Amino acid sequence: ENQWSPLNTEGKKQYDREFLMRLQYDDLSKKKPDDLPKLDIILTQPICNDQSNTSTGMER
Amino acid sequence: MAEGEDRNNEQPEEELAMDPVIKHPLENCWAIWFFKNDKAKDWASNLKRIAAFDTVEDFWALFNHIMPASKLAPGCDYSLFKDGVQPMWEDEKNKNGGRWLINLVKNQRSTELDKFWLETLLCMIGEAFGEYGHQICGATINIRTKGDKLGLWTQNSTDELGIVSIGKTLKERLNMNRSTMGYQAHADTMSKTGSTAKNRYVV
Repeated sequence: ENQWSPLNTEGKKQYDREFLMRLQYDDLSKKKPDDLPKLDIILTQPICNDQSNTSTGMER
Repeated sequence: MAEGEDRNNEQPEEELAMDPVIKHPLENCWAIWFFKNDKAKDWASNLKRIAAFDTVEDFWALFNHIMPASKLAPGCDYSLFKDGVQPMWEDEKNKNGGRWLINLVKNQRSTELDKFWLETLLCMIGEAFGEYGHQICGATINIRTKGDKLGLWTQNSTDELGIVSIGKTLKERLNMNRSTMGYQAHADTMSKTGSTAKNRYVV
């Protein structure tokens, strides 16, 4: 299958649920994006730090 | 006393397969929007584009730093659209389209809403709709006292084959196999006389 990977950068960028979920707690995924607008819905700490994994079910 | 006792502090190295430097690119660039119902302002100025992203990691970084949909005040919406498409009927990409609509009942806000919304987002960014992915415009979650709504927007309300396939995929991913879901053209929603527009398709 022609899936994108670091070694096949021309491949299709299709990702299944499991793969996407696995990346939720990656260090890069916990870094707050720069330049977010000032809105009261923006959190200072990532969600995954202040809750257990109940809301995302299948994770570790 | 027992020396070497704390040697098992080492972290398990199970993430070796993932290169920490390379982010995983998405097929499309997406933007997240927030709508807050402030009656003192007109509709368009209540709509704010929060940020755009085009990698899996950047999606999570954003998702992890915004309030879950279930915690928003009534009258608020989140939307995720392909970057360049505005989350409104009038947009070029939306005006001939429609949406798969899921009406949630009250208690689903605490039990299912966040799961449904995340699942819909993952379907879109992961390109779960396969060959019909180009039909997808975005998705919106409306938090309302009368009942929350989740809509998956596609661009051509007459493409039955694509729309039905997208609907079936969404239903399956949301595990909604025991209930039905309707697709409504935006044109019908705009001109409706009663409280609900007619369904063009049902899965």
